[in-house]
Amino acid sequence: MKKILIAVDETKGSRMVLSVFNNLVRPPEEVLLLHVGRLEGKSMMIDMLGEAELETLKESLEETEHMNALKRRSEKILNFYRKEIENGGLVRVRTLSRFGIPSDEIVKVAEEEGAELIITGFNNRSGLDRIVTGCVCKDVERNAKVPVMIARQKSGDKKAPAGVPIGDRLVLKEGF
Amino acid sequence: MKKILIPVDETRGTKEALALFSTAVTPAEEVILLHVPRMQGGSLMIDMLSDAELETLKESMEGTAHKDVLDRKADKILGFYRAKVEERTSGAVKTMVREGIVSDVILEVAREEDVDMIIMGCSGKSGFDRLISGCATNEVERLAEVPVLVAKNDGCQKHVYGWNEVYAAQ
Repeated sequence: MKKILIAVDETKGSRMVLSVFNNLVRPPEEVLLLHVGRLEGKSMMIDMLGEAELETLKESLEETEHMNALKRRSEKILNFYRKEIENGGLVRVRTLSRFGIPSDEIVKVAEEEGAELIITGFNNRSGLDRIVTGCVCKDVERNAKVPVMIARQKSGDKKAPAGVPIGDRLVLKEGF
Repeated sequence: MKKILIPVDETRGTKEALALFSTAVTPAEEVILLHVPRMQGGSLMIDMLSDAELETLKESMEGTAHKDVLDRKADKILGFYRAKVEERTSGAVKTMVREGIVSDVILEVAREEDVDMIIMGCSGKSGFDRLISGCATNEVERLAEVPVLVAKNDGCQKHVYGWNEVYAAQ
């Protein structure tokens, strides 16, 4: 394969992409690491915004403290994953930071860049949690025009019980 | 990787899944091709049957002409894909036929065989059709304990957003 797009974020579920990529996927010529930052934090307002409103939101946020903090966080996450992948082997890695609705951006970038495969993590949301917050990986899988690999770690444990809290996030410390 | 499970049927999704098997993933020691026949044809009845009723259905179909047709179809599909896979892999190829609810069977086999990955095609259903008859790929992707690679074909279009919430409620 020429180009693989790996979508990452700060959640625990995202980490699975590493073991899947390093062990189960044939090394491509280039890896594109994409992080889509959520402009609105944990608010769900953003899924109700249209394209125009999103653009306005992005513009009004330009140059603000909030935006800078978001950009820095995005870079930290991307660097973490970049290091992990570059350590694994001889692949060219490019990082990309975007803001907006994660599943939309992932699918858009995959098309723009001509990626042949999208690898995304999986956050085990179930029940009400899933309905309310949604599942990025599912949306990506449905809307993408290219194959999507949903990365999970194979383990002996049963999957988490229904009602996994929304705050299932991996806080990246300064050390990264 | 040790074992890959590839559910196969007569749709294009399977062709795409196989293409991915050659190009995207690392070589496997064993490939399992699983065919789940549609005992009920296009009927949606099967998703409403419990295990006991499914058993009864299977028994009542034994020795019927319908079952023969299904068996022959299964053989054809598996024979065709086994040949394709054997061309592309030096590992072992195992074929399986098991009746039941598609997504449940796939997950069951994945667990029993302790596979490392599932590669499957996408059903290509959208909107109302998808809502009513469901999508095996989505169920598997949601509940599998291993990575799932979903192959796309031209039939898979963008799905109407509104159905997300209703679908997730299943």
